Amino acid sequence: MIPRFLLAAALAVIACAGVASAVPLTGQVVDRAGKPVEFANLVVAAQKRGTVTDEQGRFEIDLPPGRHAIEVAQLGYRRLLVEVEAGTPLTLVLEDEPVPIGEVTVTASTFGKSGKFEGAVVRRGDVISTPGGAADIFQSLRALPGINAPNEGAAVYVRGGHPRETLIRVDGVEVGHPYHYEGASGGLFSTVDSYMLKSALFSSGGFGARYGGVLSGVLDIETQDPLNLRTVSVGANLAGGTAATSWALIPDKLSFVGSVNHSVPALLFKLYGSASDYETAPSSSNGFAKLIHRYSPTGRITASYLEAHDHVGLVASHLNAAYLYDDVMANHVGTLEVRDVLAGRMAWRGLVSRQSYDKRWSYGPFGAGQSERTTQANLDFDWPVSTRAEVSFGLNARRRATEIVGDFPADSMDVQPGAPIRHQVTRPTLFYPGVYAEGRFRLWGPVYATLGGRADHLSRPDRWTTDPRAALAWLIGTHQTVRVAAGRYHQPADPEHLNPVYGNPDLGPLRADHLIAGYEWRSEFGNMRVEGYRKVYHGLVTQDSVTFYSNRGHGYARGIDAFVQGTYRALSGWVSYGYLDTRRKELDDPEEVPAAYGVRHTLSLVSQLRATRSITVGARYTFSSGRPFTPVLAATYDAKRGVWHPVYGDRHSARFPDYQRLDVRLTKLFSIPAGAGLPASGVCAFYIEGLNVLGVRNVLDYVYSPDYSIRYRTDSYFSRAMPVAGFTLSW
Amino acid sequence: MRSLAMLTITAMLFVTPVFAYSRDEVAAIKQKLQHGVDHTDLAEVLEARSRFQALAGLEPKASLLPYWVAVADWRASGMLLNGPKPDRERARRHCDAGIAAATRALELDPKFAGALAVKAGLTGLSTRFVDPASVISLGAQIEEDLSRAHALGEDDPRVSLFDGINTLHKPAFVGGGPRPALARLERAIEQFGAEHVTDAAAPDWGRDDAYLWAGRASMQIEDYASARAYFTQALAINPENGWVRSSLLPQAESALATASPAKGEP
Repeated sequence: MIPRFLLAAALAVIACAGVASAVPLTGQVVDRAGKPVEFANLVVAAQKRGTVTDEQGRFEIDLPPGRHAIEVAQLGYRRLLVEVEAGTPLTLVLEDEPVPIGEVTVTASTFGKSGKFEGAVVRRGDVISTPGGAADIFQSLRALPGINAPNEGAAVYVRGGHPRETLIRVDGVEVGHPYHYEGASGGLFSTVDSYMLKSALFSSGGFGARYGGVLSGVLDIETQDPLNLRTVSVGANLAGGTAATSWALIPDKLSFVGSVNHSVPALLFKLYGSASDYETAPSSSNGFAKLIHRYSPTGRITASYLEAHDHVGLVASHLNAAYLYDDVMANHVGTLEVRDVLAGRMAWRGLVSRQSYDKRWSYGPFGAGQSERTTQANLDFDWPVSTRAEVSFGLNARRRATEIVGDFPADSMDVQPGAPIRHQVTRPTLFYPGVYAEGRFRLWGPVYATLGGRADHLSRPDRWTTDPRAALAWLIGTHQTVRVAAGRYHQPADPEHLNPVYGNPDLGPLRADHLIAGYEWRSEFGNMRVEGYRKVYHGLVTQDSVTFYSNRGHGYARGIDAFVQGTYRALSGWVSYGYLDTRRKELDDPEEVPAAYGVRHTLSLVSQLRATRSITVGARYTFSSGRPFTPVLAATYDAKRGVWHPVYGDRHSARFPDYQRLDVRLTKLFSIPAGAGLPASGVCAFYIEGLNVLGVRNVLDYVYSPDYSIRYRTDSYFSRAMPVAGFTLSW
Repeated sequence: MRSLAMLTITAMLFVTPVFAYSRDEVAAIKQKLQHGVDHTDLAEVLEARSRFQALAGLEPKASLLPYWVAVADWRASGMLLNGPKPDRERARRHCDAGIAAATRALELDPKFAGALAVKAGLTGLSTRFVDPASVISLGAQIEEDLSRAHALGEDDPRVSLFDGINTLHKPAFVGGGPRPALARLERAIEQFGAEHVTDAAAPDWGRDDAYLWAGRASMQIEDYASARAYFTQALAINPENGWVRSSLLPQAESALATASPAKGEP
């Protein structure tokens, strides 16, 4: 025992001797200006020792003789790792922490109202609280810059681009037809219930390499995925009703979110005095259901299903003919998605989806059915390499089989009774796989960059496209950012142009080159952003006497978007303005002419006043200069057919009158106390909204007398003041 | 061989570095944090935070250490926002760092109810820095975190404390306000009464805070007598609580002196 005890004592002495022979390492931690950094923590991990600086930034720590690696950290400064010699007095200089790459919006054209670092997102609160937005995602987006909306539709016209030039994704899945009452130029409302909205990134150009197959803009919607909520909401207004729920089936493991929405605006039309316009009152319904299984702290599997239907029947005039227009649509999208983290660092997301879209319309003797079956698979990886760099890469594949079968007018200018009819069958199938990679870097000091590109293969006409993209952001101080971005974008031709008999199945993809420069100023009270852009189109589809269609079209869109947002006490609001100059040569245009949906000036003013803790009053004023149209100058009589044919003036040489509208909204928030077996409610709301309260009669279109000598105006949907009242209750 | 192993272990015990994570070390820093809070000494709170942070750097697997960092950040954010010279930018930075620290604690121990509650408290503070429209979604997140924290730590008084503070700050139309807050804070007081913490490093703070916040809720409904009683009780538990001693209790007594008897003394 004694020798053992002695040995232990000896070891203890050695250990104590080790401590006794420790060398005090002293020093001071300062910032780049020489100012002491108080309470910085110093850690010598190998020695399991640490200390904290005092008010003068001074420190002292005992270490064994030799060299040691010291890590110094303090909030607001960059972490410092140095190797030092114990016993040598030190001055350690901490540099200001650069803004981590994840907090810098390098991407251009991402306007938004909320989010801490972004600029990029729209959240549910924005959608619900925007006056005149009817709590619809697309209608609310119209108040943001970059959308040149020429009328009341929900379609997203981005910087002169047609709505089909905007990619709309829901939880990573491209939803080809996201509108209710979709027509040639978009639809009226979204098929995604705003209750389901978690956030949405909206980019009006210069977007990253992750997004492909589209020329102008991106709306990337993420739906809710709460972990443990158990809520039920119901709502109704004069146009319909909605019910939604978030329900944790097994806390932390399994949750369900879903909503159903049904709209029959017959009552609204009756109030509005336009019920007689409709043979069948328009009705629409949509539902969304999502089951989320979290199989690990980082991993989850999600199955979701989106369904939408609508039906409308109305007497409509077109080219001097009036028929019953009947339209029935059904859209189903099913998705299976897995998300997880690899090695604790790299987030990945894989999904497969299947969309089934069917639409059937008839207009007098004409009519067609269109069906689309789209299968999509995505695999995306995001790797935050460090605070200086992030890398994203992945692949997308999409197979879309379209079938269009119908009877169309043989002469697009003759839709009179007895007009010649062309029966057409188009069944294009496109396989469109692509890969992308993109890096976000802090290049130097306050300069951040995004560099990336994608390559896509179009199965028909068997062609590869490559799209390089880059963006640069320079942070000037804490409030200002300057951005420039450039990129190339491709999009497949529309299916209706790929008809093997009356079209060109070998049409190549369309192309747009973006160049964007902007300036942003931000503070806690608000922000201001101005951006200039130029988008040059190549390969637009034009009519061709030999091949029916070719890629000989071209055009451009250029302009300025400005956005000023601020909050002062109970008052908040924003102003967005867009100037757009766009011309195109496409289809039967003889040369570059003003684009049909090119609205020169767009202005939105939105303000909200929190009158009391529970009452908010809001207003939105919208102004758009008139969109171009081709005037009818005269008419010729076709004795054989017995009808008049219009003689058009120069293409898009006239403009509709300017559009303007003022909406106001009063929202009262409240909760219902517990009772009748129900628990106390969550946030409930009652609202009264006045749409177009000034009753401005805006023009949607012109129709003509049979001989085209008199022109009549068709009023837009909301050309009279319309009150809407509704409520939402939530438990 | 066995003896040699024993000897080795004995020797290792002797050479264990004195600065490594120990219960006593944590307890000492906890005291410093509390002292800083009691005396409204931001520097002391920040020093405690840094010491917790340094320990967390040495013991990256210990969930208690980032928890304490988060608690210190919550304290610091409040002091920076409500001090004589409010510094929103620094407060925001501590709020973000605190949420990150609480999240780290939860990664290490997903069933750490207290960390979830602190995260909810910091998220509540963060609503001061964001766009008003974002408050709706942040509010839902706070409710979700607190609901989960209650499920994980049914008897944790600090969960009820944060629930009470959150309820006090919530608008009445969503079930907030002083009266519903009082019910939760009373629950916290009851739970604190039943709590016996033996681990020197474990969370044991908040008993006087529960009375303090109950007093503040009582002040809002103009029940000054109850407020004074709560503040007195807070001082009985922690005589060093400077906020209560120099500000809240005198306010209650002053209000009581001028209030009508119906609202004040019985």
